[in-house]
Amino acid sequence: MVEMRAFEPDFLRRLDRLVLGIRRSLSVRVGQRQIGRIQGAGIEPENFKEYAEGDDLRFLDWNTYARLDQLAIRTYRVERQVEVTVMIDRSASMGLPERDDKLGLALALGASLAYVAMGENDAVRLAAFATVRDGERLSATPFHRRREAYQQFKPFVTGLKPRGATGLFDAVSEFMRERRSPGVVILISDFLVEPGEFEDALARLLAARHELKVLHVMGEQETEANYPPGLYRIRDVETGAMREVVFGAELAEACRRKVSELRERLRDYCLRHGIVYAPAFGARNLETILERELPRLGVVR
Amino acid sequence: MGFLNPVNLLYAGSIAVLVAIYFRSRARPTIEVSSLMLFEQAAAPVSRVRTLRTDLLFWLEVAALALIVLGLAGPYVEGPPAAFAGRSHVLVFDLGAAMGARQGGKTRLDLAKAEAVHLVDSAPSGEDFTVLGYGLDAHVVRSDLSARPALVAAIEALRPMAVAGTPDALSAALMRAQTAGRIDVFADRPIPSAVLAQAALGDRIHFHQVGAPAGNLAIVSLDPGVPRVSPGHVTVKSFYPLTHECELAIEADRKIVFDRALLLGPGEQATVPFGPLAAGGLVHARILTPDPLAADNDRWALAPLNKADPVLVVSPDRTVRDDLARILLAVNRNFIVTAISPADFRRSVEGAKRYSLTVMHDCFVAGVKTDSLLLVYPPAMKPVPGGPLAGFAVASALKPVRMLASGASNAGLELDSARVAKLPDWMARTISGEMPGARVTFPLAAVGMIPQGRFGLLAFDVRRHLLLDPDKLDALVATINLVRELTSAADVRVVSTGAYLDIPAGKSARVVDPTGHIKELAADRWGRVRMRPMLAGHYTVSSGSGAVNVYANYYNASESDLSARPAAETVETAGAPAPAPVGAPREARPLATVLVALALVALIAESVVLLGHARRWRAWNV
Repeated sequence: MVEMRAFEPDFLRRLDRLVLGIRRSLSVRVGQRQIGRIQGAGIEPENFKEYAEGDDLRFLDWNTYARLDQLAIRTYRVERQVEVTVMIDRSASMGLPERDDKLGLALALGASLAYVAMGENDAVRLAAFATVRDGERLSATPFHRRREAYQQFKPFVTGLKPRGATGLFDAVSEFMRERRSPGVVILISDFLVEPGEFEDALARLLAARHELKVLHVMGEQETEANYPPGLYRIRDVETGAMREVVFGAELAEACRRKVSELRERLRDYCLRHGIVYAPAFGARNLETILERELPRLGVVR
Repeated sequence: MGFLNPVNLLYAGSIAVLVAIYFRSRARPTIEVSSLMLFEQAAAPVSRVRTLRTDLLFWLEVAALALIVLGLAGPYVEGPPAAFAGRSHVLVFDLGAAMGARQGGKTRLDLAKAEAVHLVDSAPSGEDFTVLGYGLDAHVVRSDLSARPALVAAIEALRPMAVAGTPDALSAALMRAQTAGRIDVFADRPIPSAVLAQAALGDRIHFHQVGAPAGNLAIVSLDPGVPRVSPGHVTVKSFYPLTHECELAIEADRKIVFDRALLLGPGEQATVPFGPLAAGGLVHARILTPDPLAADNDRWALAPLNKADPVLVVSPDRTVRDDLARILLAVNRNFIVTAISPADFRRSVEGAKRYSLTVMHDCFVAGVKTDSLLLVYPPAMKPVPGGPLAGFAVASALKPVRMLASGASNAGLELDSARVAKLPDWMARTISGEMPGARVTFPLAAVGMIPQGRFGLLAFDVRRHLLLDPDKLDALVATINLVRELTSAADVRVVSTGAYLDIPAGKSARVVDPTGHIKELAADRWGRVRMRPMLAGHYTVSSGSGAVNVYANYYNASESDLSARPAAETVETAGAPAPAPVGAPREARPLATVLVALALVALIAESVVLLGHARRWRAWNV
């Protein structure tokens, strides 16, 4: 029930001072005609360029033409309203280990970041993904821009239950079919998917010029492999595959090593592709993650 | 080794449940994980095949459960009866006539006594013994004896009676022994299974069968006939498995009037005529051939005396007067019967004579001089304040009524009507009746003998030729028996052993039994002594009013049959252990207590092990 923390007034008050770290401003050159993509008049002058055919004459700098007898077009740096999509993994693997409450942590982080983003009046929505039997891959809320509408995320957040396979690539493909303008995509998952799947998914988002932030959620028991010693039969909650293991120090070490490998591989990929990567291990560390780790890693400021 | 409740072994199924729980707990638990990917580097486990783990808690629980199940099944081991000191011990002796059967110079009762004395000798000191005997009834010979001499003396004083040992008497004896720790029954025939089942004594009862199967000759009945008129008949029966000789002699007036050797086939019963006798009086039939049982070798009967006894019959109904007169003449053809209506009774004529017997039907005429009075269907009478009939009263009539059993042949007879009489204490009810559907009984026939005379009662109506109705012979038999008893000689009585007998005696009487033992009996307030001859033979009852000779006859078809099989061949009684063989008494010792104690030990040990685990786990609230 960690996700309920994201709607507590005291908790939200601590988020008021945070701002979503959008690393590059998403600007358009207003002087170029782009049907349906005009973001409005400029506010902050950015540069000048020579007039070219087709430029909007309204932005012609008549003072320059008077002084220099050259046609120049004034361009403005316009902060566009960013669409922020928080994609949260709601697959069955996010429900285990139960005491780690990975899904709760993911939802709390996602909702918190949405709240932070709404502070800049950005359009924010939450989306949950998993491949379930009924074919659903991605479910999302409407966009909300103002913090007054933040509470409308609550039914979505509290109504999610872990189920289905992760299906990260399928979810990204579903997301891409909307053909929306590039925005910020915050991807929260345990990334327990087949090797190469998360690379393909992230690459596809990058190709669409989305700014990506990856939050890697893992449980403490999962990372520590802290299981009671003995002979057990383990079952993959998503695939149903089973195998027998003997829990003990040796296996715990192997599990820790595997988690570390997964983490390093994801972080390396993110670093190489300019993706913000932030590990979020342990639901009880929610405040620490939000107030220390995410600012340190540039997810928020 | 055996089990008292082997069906309880079915509870052993609970052990299977425990084992199933054990194996279920051993099954490898399945844990769901977020992804098998995290466990890719884990080595596959090396499976270790072990049938059963050494789990002390499990084995302790199995042991406790098994011990409890065994305890529920009631296991026992048999052993010599050495360890019953401090318990009460009852010795029950069959004192029926067959226990007097002699074989090799000793009676069966002698063998039983010897075995009992041996048992007493082997008992530890301090054991309390009670000696019970049963024949027609059960009685305590001596109780709570721990002193051996007195106990042996009590056993040695036992004598067989000339009566049959009945199952009811044995049941009564076993009921009296219910609280005893051990009961030893000494008898010559197996205990009926119904008696054992009813007693429900479990393994506390031990049966000792004494005597070997033997043959026997017995006189079944003796009819003296009518002197100089009709022959008498004697019936003898052989219980030998082969044809056997039987020399039979009949004496009358101390002279042998009949002596013949008969050959009787196996189990044959023969009726032999003799006479007619020359004169009435006591007739004695006896078997001269030696056989094991003597009690049924003699039989006595009284032949009617050639004396013209006057008898008066008074009834308002002419047909009843005729019927009663016929029956009286059939009982004794020497009777001179006067039959009149009460309206015709003349005090100066009929009232002036003295009668041996007066029979009054549906009327009561006072002032008749008679030795015996028989009232048949008497009219309603208020309690008589004094005289021979003091306390006698008759209430209203009931109809219809049913005759209850008073012997083997007179049960269930429907009678038209009867009157309810209140009997004085000195009268004994011989036949009872009841209204159909009602539980209250009342006397249908009664007799009393006091020094003032003899008085008999037949409470049912005999109109419409009841006494001559072939379908209602029971009423006729009851009437004849009563007439015979009322007209029998005052100084000679012939009865069956075990029957109660009232003899007018004044203040006291001296009774000499057939073995010569003398016993003084005090008369009751009506001046009579009550005796019950239990031995076959001649009793002499002497009192101030003279001597009365009592002859007790014994015969019982079941008891006289001495061919009872040994106990080992009898069918075992359900719910009770097999009778112990003679001479080797064994005792079943239950093991349930030991097993339950061991189960408790196992549970305590389990608790200790658990406590050790708890300390190791630092869980102090386990």
